[in-house]
Amino acid sequence: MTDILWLSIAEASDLLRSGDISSTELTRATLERIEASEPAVHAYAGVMAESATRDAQRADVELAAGGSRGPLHGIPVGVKDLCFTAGFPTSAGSRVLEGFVPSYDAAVVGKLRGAGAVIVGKTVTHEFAYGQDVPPTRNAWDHACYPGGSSAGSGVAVAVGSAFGAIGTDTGGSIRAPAAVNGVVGLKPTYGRVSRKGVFPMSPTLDTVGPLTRTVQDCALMLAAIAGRDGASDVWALDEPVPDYVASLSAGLEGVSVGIERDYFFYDAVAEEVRSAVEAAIATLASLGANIVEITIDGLELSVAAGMPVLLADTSEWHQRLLRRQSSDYVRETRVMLELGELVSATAYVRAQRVRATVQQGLRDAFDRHGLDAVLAPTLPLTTMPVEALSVDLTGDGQTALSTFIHHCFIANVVGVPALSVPVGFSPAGLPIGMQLFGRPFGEAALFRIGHAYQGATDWHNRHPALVPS
Amino acid sequence: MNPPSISPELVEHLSALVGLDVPPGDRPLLQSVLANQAASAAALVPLELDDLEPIVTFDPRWR
Repeated sequence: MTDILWLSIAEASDLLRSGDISSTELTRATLERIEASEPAVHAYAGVMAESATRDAQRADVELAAGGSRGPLHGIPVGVKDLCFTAGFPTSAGSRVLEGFVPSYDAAVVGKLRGAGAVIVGKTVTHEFAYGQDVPPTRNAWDHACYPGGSSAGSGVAVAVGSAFGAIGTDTGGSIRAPAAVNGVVGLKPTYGRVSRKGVFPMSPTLDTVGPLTRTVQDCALMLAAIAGRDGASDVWALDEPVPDYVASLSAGLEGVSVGIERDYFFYDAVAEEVRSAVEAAIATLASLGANIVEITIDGLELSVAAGMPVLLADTSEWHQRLLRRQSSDYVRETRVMLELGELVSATAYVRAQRVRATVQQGLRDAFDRHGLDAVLAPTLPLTTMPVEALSVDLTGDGQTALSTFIHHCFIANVVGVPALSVPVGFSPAGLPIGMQLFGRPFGEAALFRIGHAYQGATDWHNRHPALVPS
Repeated sequence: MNPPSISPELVEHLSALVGLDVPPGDRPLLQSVLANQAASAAALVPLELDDLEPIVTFDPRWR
């Protein structure tokens, strides 16, 4: 039964529609995998076994009647515990919300259900997605190591086969970091591409919701299902048409231009094993026909300084009342960041928003000057590290591992562009390495095209962790 | 512009100004991250940005 867990969503969908497997079988196998893997990896905050079994049976009845709702119909997926699920607890990884049960589904959950997906559980998040605490979740490839964050459970669940795909959120790298360190694909969509309705917020101009999967093709299928507004009154997404993300997946890389910015992304904090894996990926893309262009991007070095006051102040504003009522229920490190956000001055906030415009202009100029489809960089400068070696400094000004993660990832949130993390190899210690592709606003299809071509030429995405690492 | 020096007393005064009762155990870490943040914000002040609008929008339409 284990083998069906490693099917891609696309493969499983074909088998579901042909009647060769059922959603009930897929869901049962997934729930068994959750039971077997959870003691080691703790990817789930809550498992929805009963409702998932019911939803799978309903999906099978619809399929038997010839009523497929699309590629996600009958597919078991996980959802980050930051997203509202009607009638099922949503705690955002915090004691502050203990006992909270939403009365409605987040827009992204509603869209998944509408597409026929079977939601098997809520995946673990760092407290309110701030990335400051150490959750119980462990890396899929080394259970002593950091699982990435804040969508830690989503990355790990997809990697260990306890979900075919999962939903994460990304305000400064929270989809791409767990994707990279667990060896899966993760997309931070364009700001406003996926509705944030019913998702606990950090910053209204930095937050995004997106998918984690094992293949780029699956990522495109999931985005197609969750993109767009949830009705005309949805102010949590932008009113942009949703293109066919699958149509151009196999178009190849002839005529595609990929920029490489070495000063900012290939600096001395990048580990040699990461550098060589990403350089090999660049060579692979070139061999497939991509035009690789060496570029410079003005203002990149300002991105963390521009984004951080916004992230801090926005998040603290939302927590203002809770912090005064339930201060002791927060993890200390989260609470300190919330206290810090209250001390950001209004002028510093507006100044930062003006600097964001500069950073955005610099990236746009680089894309236009070189006719780029994407900019490629290591997703993170390092592989994962033992949990006890983790040092937190979310202000982004230090030299800690998490500060360097923010250095690589935050730019996409600061300027709102999409960024796709794709596995590109392993370190000598067997730890996954990812590359990320930044695109133009609403340019996800180009990123999928590049990532899909890369996965067609490599097999990193077909390697899976053992439940008990050797 | 030089970043301000952040003392424990300043943390206490600023917290009081915004109505926060910061637990004693939080204060050293808050002092440290506030110093980082103040230095980072100070570095943005000298930039020439007059021809750019802040990424803050206001929409007068009724929704």
